[in-house]
Amino acid sequence: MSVDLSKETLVRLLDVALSGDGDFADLFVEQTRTTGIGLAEDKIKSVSVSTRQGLSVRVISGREVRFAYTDELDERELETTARAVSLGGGSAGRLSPLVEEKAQKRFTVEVPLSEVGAATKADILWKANEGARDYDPRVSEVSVSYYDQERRILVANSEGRWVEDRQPLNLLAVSAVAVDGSVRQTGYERMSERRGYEVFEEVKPESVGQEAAREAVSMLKAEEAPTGELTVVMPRGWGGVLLHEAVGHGLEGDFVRRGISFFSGKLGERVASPLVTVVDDGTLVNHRGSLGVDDEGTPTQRTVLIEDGFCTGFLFDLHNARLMGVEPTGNGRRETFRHPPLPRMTNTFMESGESAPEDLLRDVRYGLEVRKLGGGQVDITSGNFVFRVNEAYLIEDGATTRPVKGATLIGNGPEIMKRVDRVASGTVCAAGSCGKNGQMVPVCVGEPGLRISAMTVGGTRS
Amino acid sequence: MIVDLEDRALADRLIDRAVRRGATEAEVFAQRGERTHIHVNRGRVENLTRAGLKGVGLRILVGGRLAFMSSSDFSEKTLDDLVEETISLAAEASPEPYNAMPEMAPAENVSDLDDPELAEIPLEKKLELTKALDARVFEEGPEIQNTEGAIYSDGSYVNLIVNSKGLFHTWRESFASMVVSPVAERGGQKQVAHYWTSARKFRGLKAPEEIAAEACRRAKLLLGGEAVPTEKVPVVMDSRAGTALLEGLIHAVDGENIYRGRSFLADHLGRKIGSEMVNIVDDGTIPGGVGSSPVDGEGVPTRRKWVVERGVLSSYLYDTYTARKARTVSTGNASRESYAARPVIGALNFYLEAGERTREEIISEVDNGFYVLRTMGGGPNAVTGDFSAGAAGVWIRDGKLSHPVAKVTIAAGMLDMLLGIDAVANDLVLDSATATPTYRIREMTVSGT
Repeated sequence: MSVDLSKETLVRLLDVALSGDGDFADLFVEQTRTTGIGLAEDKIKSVSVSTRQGLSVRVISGREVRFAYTDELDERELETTARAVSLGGGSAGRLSPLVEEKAQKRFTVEVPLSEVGAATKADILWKANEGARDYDPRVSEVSVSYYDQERRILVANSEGRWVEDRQPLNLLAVSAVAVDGSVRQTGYERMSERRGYEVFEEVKPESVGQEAAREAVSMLKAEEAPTGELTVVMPRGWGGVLLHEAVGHGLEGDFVRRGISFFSGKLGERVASPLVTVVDDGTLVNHRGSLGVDDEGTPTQRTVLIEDGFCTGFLFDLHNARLMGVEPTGNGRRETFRHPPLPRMTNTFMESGESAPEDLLRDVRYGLEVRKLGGGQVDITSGNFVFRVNEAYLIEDGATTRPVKGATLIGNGPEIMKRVDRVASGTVCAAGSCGKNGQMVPVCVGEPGLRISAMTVGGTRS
Repeated sequence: MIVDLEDRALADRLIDRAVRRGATEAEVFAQRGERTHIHVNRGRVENLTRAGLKGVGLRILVGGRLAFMSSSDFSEKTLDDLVEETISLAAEASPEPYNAMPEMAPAENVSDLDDPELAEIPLEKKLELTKALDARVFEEGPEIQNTEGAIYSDGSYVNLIVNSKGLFHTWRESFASMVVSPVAERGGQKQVAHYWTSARKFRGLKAPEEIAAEACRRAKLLLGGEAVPTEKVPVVMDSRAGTALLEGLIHAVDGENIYRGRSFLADHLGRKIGSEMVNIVDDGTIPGGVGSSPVDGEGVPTRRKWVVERGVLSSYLYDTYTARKARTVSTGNASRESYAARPVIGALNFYLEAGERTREEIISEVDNGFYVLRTMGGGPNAVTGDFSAGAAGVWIRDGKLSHPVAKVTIAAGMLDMLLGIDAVANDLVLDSATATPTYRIREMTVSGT
């Protein structure tokens, strides 16, 4: 199908693309097929299938990037697209012979979801729905969403790289509402891996539903969250979204190169507590953020971003790496062929520390234990970030006591990272989606559980 | 490059095929377009994208069971296979008697949604404009040392919707927008601010000088912002920050969320949910409106309606399915993000009506309060009715802007916010689909140190 353009076609298109003033050109071909199912009100509301295919061409001339794409894959349209980006003259770029490479296999698919029938998939949603509804009679509404996807990509560039990859992805998400009198609360849980149907035998869909219901029901009794500076304990797993926002985005190569990130020029400097080591690793088997090669054909790798509190690395795509005279790190990603690559995170997590999990709470006189964080946002220039807290409890005299609602966490990334005073052992990653410049890509975040000595908690109780 | 007739034929063929394979109702939404995207940073073109795109979405019902497919590949074989698959997928959906597609109803023309000149404007002119905007920020004072650059985007689309009940509409639309993001610096502190202009037509864009000046004013105002002690104070919402509350409200009046009990406004129709000054309109018929459209994503004509009138909740937003379920009629609020997405409920031009006061008057009446220029993260929760978001802006002391504030959150119940609106300014500009003038809320919790 589409990704199977012949070598001759690829070479010809790269030739056309480089016939102007470009010194680098690449092609990206994508074919993605997605099946989606939605359940709500005890009904399968809809079932869908979609396919997307196309090619994009990029030419880089010094600092300038030109980009074009097409979803018509006939020879004439492909050539028109390549010609659209080959402006000017006096090309400095030469075409190296294409050498086909194999992408590293990062995924262990036993039963491809493309070969599983819709009825079997619908059953996954019914089980998740049942798990949530059976948890507690106060669960009043449950919605479940599911998709599976296979993304096939091909990358070829003027430096001779030529690589294809197949990227499976699936997701099961449950949102539950619990009602008690006039109080309404929500809970949310999601599971996503790059695997086949076997994943749903390992992680029971019912348990995903139960977890969403548990969160909604536990928050029914919640009081208004306190406000002001408190000691905050972050949970293992999804708590890593704090790192993603507070430091991850600021370490992306485009922001760093333009000198607009808080971390610009900070390589080798102390930017966090000595307990903090942060890694981006796109090679972890079956993780939602993993890839064999990135969307520019660069093999993914493990990049240490912060080591023992010192800034040790940034995340690079090809373009920003070239401009900064460094090696790309396999972080050039794009949502679809309609999007140009950007330096993005893959699986970003804090390395395990040495504290026992119970030590995080010990000697906290009054603080906040966060169990579930919602989404967050960061201003990479100032480093200021915000998170919504979905499930949290007060810590009083070293013990978890009452649930609290409506809390928001706010702070400055580098300041907060310096206040990490305990890191637990045992990092776990959790699946999410990351948005940047209007492009969403699948990622994981992770951490082992940690404590921040003081952080602003915004609530409604003064 | 755009041939409407060809797409009409494609739509008819898909519908015909779906019906012959067992669909009781079928609908095609097809879209073709062209886009330009330019990012200039410090004089250099960081990204120049030109592209054409097309796609088709097919929605079918088989006796109340709903299935959907989309494709960017128009080849006969691919589409026929997808129709087969969609029909067989429908068997897994639950039968839902309220599922139905709308009948044909004539739509009024909404003028000025399309800029026929856009395609004629040479790329060089768009590049020049973007470069001018990028460069302009450095003329706005010594604090402006860097920039994330200027971005120009435009697009022109032809949309077509056809269903098996004889519904057929086609319309053209376009958009153009520019944003600039200067970075102000002082003593090692950095602050970025974004300011944009958006319109249906190229000529509707504001001048680069105006955009650059406003972006830089904001960056300088916010520079060096620090947290303030926690307290409950009046909050003045700048027009660009004020939309966060409205976005929460859109979810809360979404007919689907209402009957599923996922809204704090369920059972609130006809009740007072805001102060006398709260008049909120949803209108798809505004000429040149960024959120306007002659018909919605199912082909139902759009119209103007009060959502909140003098503080009273007067309408929810419905598509055909939720309206049937609620025993009412569609409000023309089925919205499609693209050809690849099923229609879901969404707003058109959704805005808080302007008041008569000036922004300066509203600020000058505050002894001790917070002028919010931007919110980030969090925001409204339409289910619980809580609002909590990070905020940055300027503290107001004795009626005057005093010092920059950042790293704080603002929080309150959404009902308390709406009921607490005690002043609305006259500075409404409908340059985005969700818009508000500057307005003041009697009290919110500002959490800081």
